Amino acid sequence: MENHKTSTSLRIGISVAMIIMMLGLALFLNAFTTYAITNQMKVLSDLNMPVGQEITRTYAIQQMQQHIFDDITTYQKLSSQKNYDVSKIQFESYDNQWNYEVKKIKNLTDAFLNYGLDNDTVVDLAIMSANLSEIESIHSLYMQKTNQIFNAYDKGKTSDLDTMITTVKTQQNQINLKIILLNDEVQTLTDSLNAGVEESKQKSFTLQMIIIISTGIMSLALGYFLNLINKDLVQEVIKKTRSLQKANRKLERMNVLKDDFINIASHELKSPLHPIYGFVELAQNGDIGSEEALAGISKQARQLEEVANRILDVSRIDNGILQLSYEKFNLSNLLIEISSSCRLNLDKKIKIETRLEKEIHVEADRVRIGQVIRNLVNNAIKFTEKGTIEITMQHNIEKNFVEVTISDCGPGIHPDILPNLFNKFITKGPNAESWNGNGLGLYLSREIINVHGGHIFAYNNKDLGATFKFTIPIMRHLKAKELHQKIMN
Amino acid sequence: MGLQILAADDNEFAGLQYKKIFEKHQHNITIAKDGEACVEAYKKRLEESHSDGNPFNVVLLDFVMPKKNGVRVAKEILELRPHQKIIFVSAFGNGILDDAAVFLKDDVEIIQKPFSLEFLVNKIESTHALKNMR
Repeated sequence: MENHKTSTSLRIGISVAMIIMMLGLALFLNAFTTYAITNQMKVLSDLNMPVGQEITRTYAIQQMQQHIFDDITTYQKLSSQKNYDVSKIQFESYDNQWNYEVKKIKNLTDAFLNYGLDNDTVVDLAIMSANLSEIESIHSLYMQKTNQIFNAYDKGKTSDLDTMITTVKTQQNQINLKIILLNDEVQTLTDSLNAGVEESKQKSFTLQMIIIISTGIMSLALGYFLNLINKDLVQEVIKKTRSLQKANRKLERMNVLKDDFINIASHELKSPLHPIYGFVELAQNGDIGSEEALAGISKQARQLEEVANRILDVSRIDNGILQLSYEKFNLSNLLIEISSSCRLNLDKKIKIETRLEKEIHVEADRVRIGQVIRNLVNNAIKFTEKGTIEITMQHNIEKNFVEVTISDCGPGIHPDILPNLFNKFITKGPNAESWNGNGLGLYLSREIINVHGGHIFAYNNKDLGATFKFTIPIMRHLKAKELHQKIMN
Repeated sequence: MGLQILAADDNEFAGLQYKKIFEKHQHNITIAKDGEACVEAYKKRLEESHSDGNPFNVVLLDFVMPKKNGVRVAKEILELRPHQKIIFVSAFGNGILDDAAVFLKDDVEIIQKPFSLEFLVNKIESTHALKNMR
């Protein structure tokens, strides 16, 4: 029960800790995702857009330059020197603008790398950068070729230029194409960054859902464990209530027993007093002789003493202060002695027979054991009208016990009484149908035998009467060595 | 004219003393040593008497006796003769007799032990005299 509760508390603790951890994780994930998305958005807004714009501008400048180049060749053919010169200056000015724009793009692309982007983006950027360099080198070749053409024009050589012009045209087309491709790449990069943002959002959403579901499950587990604890507590309360009720019933029973004890004690003490007063009264009036009266009084006084002793013994046992005075004595002799003295007082048609296996010396309280034997024999006599009471004794030195059996030919023990035979006042109560003794004898006998470390029990014989049996140890403290010697002897 | 008395008590001395005192007062007393013997003595006298009256003027019963206790003996006697005068003598306190007293009638009395023998004789004689006057 205790273990079960501890493990349940542990489970509750773990559940709470996990819920808190999950919530913390959710917060952290949220912050991280927000950071990542913000970063990508920043890249998009800070870099991609300007780069796109610059590329468009570069493309426009390139177009303008191509137109101017066409104009220059036209003016040269038309020999319009003035227009030719103006166009040449314009051409060079566009070149400067073009270089400026390209440099701007390069700077922006380099700045990209400082944003700590993912690998794919960095690779994309590197490709972009390489393409840009390629465009730049084609453009410089293009500029060389145009300058050569312009130089030739300036020197008046107009023939044989068609090949060069064709080369320039080809270079122009290459540059245009490359710029368009570059623009596409920027677009791709923008798309992939956008996709990344979406992916981050999606991932974060999925993770958060998982965390929420896990937290829900944890909460359910927590609820379950709390319910378990609650059930345990309810069980505990029920158990405690039951044990209190049980204790209460026991107290009630004990109270009844106490009342019975007082009633029986008062009855047992008053009963012998009545004839004593009677003897005194009769003797005083001269109705009987004083000797007869004194003999009767003395017998009643002895009975009174016996009752008083029993009551004292019971209270000693109940308070746990029944002390034994151990001595070594011949149990066989004690049995013979008691059976002889019982025979003397017999007025019924009863025979008392003893069958004692062999003389045996035991270490026990002689007076107390005698009390038990006398009590059992007197009970047997009380319940037997006629027949034989048999007292037998057997012993087992190896197992260190001696067994005394007393069987009678009486009516036997009522099955209702038998299980509680050795309890206090069990034999009879004041309202019982039949009354014999004070209900303390067997209780005392059991306690005396138990204090000796022995056992006492009773059963009804198959044919007639009941049998009482008790065992006590032969030696109080039997050492192994002594036992061995005894067996060897 | 002496009274006819039946007394049951398992204490042999008590029985002996009843005999002495009642015989001294010229009453006729039968002693039974247990409940069973008491019922048998009552039935025997009933058979011998051949009359509708009670066989004894009074029956003295100890409450606690072997074989049949006083209450059971009283029940059996009252079944035979519902108006038999019965006196219980008891060493118990009054409280213990309360539940047994449920069936007890006017003709049944309780005297607590110990009491004087002369007191008992006087009680029985005066009760009987009173009954005869009525």
